[in-house]
Amino acid sequence: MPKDLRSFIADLKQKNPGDVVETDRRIDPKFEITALQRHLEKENKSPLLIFNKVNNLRGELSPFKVLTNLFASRDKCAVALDLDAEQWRMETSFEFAKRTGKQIDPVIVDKKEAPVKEVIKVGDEVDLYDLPVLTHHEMDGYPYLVDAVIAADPETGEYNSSHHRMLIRGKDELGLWMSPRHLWNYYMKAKEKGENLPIAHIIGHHPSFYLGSEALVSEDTDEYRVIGGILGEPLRLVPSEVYGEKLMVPADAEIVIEGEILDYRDAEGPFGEFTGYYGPQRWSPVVKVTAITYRKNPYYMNILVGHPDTSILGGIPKEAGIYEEVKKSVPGVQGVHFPISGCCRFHAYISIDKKVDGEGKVAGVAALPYHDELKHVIVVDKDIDPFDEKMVLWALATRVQATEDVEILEKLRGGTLDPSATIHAVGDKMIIDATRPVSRPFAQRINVPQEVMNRIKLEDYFDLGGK
Amino acid sequence: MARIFWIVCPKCKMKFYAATDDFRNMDRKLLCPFCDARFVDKEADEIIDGD
Repeated sequence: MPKDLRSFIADLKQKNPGDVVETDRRIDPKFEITALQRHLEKENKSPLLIFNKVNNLRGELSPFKVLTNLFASRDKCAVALDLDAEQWRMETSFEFAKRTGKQIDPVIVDKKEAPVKEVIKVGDEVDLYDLPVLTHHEMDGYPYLVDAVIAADPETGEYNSSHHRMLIRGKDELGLWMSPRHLWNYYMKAKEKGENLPIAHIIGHHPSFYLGSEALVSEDTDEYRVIGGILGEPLRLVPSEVYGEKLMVPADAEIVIEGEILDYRDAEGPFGEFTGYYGPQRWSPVVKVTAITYRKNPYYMNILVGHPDTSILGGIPKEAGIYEEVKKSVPGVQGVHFPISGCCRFHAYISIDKKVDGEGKVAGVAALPYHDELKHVIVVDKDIDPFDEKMVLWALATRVQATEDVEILEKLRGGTLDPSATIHAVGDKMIIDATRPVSRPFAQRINVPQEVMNRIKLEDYFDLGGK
Repeated sequence: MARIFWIVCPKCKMKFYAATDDFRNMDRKLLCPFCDARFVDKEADEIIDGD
């Protein structure tokens, strides 16, 4: 059986049974699902959530179930990559990187073998209001699609898959915000040819599809091959309803929304972004929706932007890549982590087995160019787990003198959604070397003798009753 | 992030913000996310630029 969202749900139930929770209580997609996710976050809980009874955008009971929090914890991503849930640290990052290097060609299947073609709506039958699309946050105002958008390069036919917000403007119209990256470049190429760019919004697939969409690859790389590598098997594709072989879509997706980017713009946003702030209203391209196809008993999968669900999705694919970059200059690199506190994009914690003074700053310099959104790099020694933020901050508190250990680089290329930037897409970067010096004595960490730690056990003295 | 300005909707009086480069002193109609009103920036009840 090919990997898809349903096979992942089954895997997760088997490997981490308590991590999937469902409810049959009816709920509305306007703010209510997000409210529950916020309540869970405050309790540091992030199970996969399945809502079996959700209203559509007309307030009617929808045949679509809603699934969310697919990426809200790293252990789910570990399971997605065929690891055990306990292997959520660098094992997950390294597995992702290994699979990125083993790209697999997609296979084309017949329409009869494509579950996403079980229900087909084209032309006048298209109605986005049939779907339980979430309105996530108060100033969003409107429901937004938030999953992956795929498109083919108008010149080469190579596929790009990337995450974009899409405002529901009407029954068959969307607003689309794009940063000037690969999809934007395809759109401009089509525009130069006097054509609209066909795209498809892919809702609900195996999490490896979305992790693969976040892999940092060059524009001339076909991302369907990258996604196949992350899946560990060929991605099954089928011609789209309206564009045929000009736009191939995943056969095992839950829902595919086909459309084309028009040469027309309108107001779109504000929208609660991955930063945890609203991105402003923009003058954004409009998309005409031409077909919606989906599976029977479909899941509408939502990635909650501005919360761990989207943070972790964006962080894991970058960690091993930065590890490899740093390793070229600092062979003793141990681990790299993008913490949720930095939206899994703005901060990186890097641990190294430091051999000479200066290696801390070299590690930071090597890491920064990897992605324009990375702003702050904190480098720690190998006795500090980069996945333990409390320990990273302790190293910051006890091993840093700002005049010696902090470097600021001004006005480099930055992310487009950083609310602190005063110039669009330009920002300052900072390296903090929180490592101990090698060339002079430094204080030693306090410790209890290991023999005593091994001999004296909690359970021999206290009944903590699971506390 | 792009420079922003706050707008108070002339219809529902709620506040939201937009990208300065996309809307300020232009004839492009803003869209109130609270009440669907469409208006250009000059028609807003209040604008906060921060300049």
